[in-house]
Amino acid sequence: MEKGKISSLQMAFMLYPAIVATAILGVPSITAKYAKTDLWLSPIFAALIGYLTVYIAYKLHQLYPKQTVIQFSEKIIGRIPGKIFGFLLLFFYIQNTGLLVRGYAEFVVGSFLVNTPISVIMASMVLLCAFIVRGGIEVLGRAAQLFVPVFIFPIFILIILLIPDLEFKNIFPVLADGIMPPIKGSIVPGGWFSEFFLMIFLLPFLVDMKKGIKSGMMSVFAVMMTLIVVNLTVLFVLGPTTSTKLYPLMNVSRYISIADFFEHVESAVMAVWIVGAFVKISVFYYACALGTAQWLNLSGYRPVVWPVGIFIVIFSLWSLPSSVDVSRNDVTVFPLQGILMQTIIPLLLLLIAVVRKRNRKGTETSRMD
Amino acid sequence: MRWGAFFCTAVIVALIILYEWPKMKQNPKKDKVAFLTLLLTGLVLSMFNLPQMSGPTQWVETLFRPFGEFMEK
Repeated sequence: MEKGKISSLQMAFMLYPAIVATAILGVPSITAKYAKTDLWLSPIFAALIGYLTVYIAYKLHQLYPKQTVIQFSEKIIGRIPGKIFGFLLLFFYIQNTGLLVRGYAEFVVGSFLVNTPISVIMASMVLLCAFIVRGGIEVLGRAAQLFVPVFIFPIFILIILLIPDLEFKNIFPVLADGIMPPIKGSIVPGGWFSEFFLMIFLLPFLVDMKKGIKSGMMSVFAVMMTLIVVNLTVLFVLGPTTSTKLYPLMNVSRYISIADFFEHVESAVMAVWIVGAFVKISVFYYACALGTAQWLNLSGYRPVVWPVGIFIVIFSLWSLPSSVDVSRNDVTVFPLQGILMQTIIPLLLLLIAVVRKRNRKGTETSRMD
Repeated sequence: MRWGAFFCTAVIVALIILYEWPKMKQNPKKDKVAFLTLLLTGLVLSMFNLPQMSGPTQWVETLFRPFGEFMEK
C-alpha cells in the first residue's frame, strides 16, 4: 500500500511538531488554570504518558511488524471487534484532525485575518495537506525534516529576545498548594502527549526499525523540554495572569521591543507557527487516509485522500458553533478521549496480544513433549 | 439548507472526481466504490447547517460529561 521508506530521524521530526505545534499555543494557559505558578512542572508528569505510549506502540510494532494498528487489531481481538476498534480509532483521528484544522483557523482568523471567512482558511490548509499526503510518506518525512528547523529556531530566538522582559521572581511560590495542582494541570498536556501513538502509523515504514523506540523517546523528551521552556517563558513574562490569556505565547511575543526598532514580531511568530501546524495536520491527515484505506481493505490509500479531506473540513464545523466550543473541547473532552483511545486501549491490546502469543507458545512446547 | 456551501462543495467534489478519476483506471472496483461513496457522503452532509447540528463531536462530549465536570471544577 505504501512503498516509501523513512528514517527514524525523519519520524522524530514528524512527531515533534505533531505534538508541539498546537501544544505551545493554547495549552500553557489551560495548564496555568489548574497549576497556577507551577505550570512548568506539568509537562514532566504529562511526558510520562508520552513515554508509556511510545513504549506500547513500539512493543505492538515488534509483535506485528509491517502492519499498522488497523490491521493487527483484527488479528489480536478477532475480525469484528477489530473492525469496531478500527472504526472508533479512525473516527477519533478524523474528528480530531477536524478540530485541529478548526483550532488553526480560529487562531489565524482571531489574531490576523479578521475578515476572511473561516471556511476558506480551513479549505486551503486541507488542500495543501492533501497534496503532501498524496505524495506519500517519503514526501511527508522530507518536508518535516525541512520545515521543523524553520519551526524550532525562531521560537528559541523569540525566547532569547524576551530575556529583558523576564521576571524570574514570578516562579515563586513553588508548590504552594502541594503536588496535586501540577498533576491536575498535566491532564490536558497528557492528552497531547498521547498523540505519540501516531508513530504506530509510521513505524512499519522505517528503514532502521531498531532505532524506532530511541527516536520516539528522544522526541518525547524534546517535546517535554520545549513545553517546559515555553511554560517558564510565559510564566516569567505574564506571571499570574497567564491563565487569562487564550494564546499566551502570542501575547508574550508582543512584549518584544529592542531599540525601538525590532517590534511587532508576532506576525513572524504566526508565520512560523503555521509551518508547524502544517506538518502536524499533514501527519494526522496521513494517519487518517492510510487508516481508512486499510480499514476498507483498498489497494492504495491515494483514492481516499480527497474524500477524507472533505470529511476533515466537515468535522471541523460539525456541532461547533463558535471558537468557545472548540477550546472547551480541548479541556473537557480531548484529554480523556485521547488518552483512552491512544494509550489505554492500545495497552489492553498489547496485554491481550502478549498473553495470546505466550499461550500459543505454551501449547506448541507441550506438543513437542 | 445552506445552498452556498452545498454548491461550493459540489464544485469541489466535481473537481476532485475530474482530477482523480483518470488516475484510478487501473484500481479495482472496490476502490472506486469507496471513493465515490465517501465523496457523496461528504456532499450530502454539506447540505445541512453543520455548526448548529448535533453531531458526533457533541455525542462524545455528552459521553465524557463526568470528566468535563471534573476538569471544569
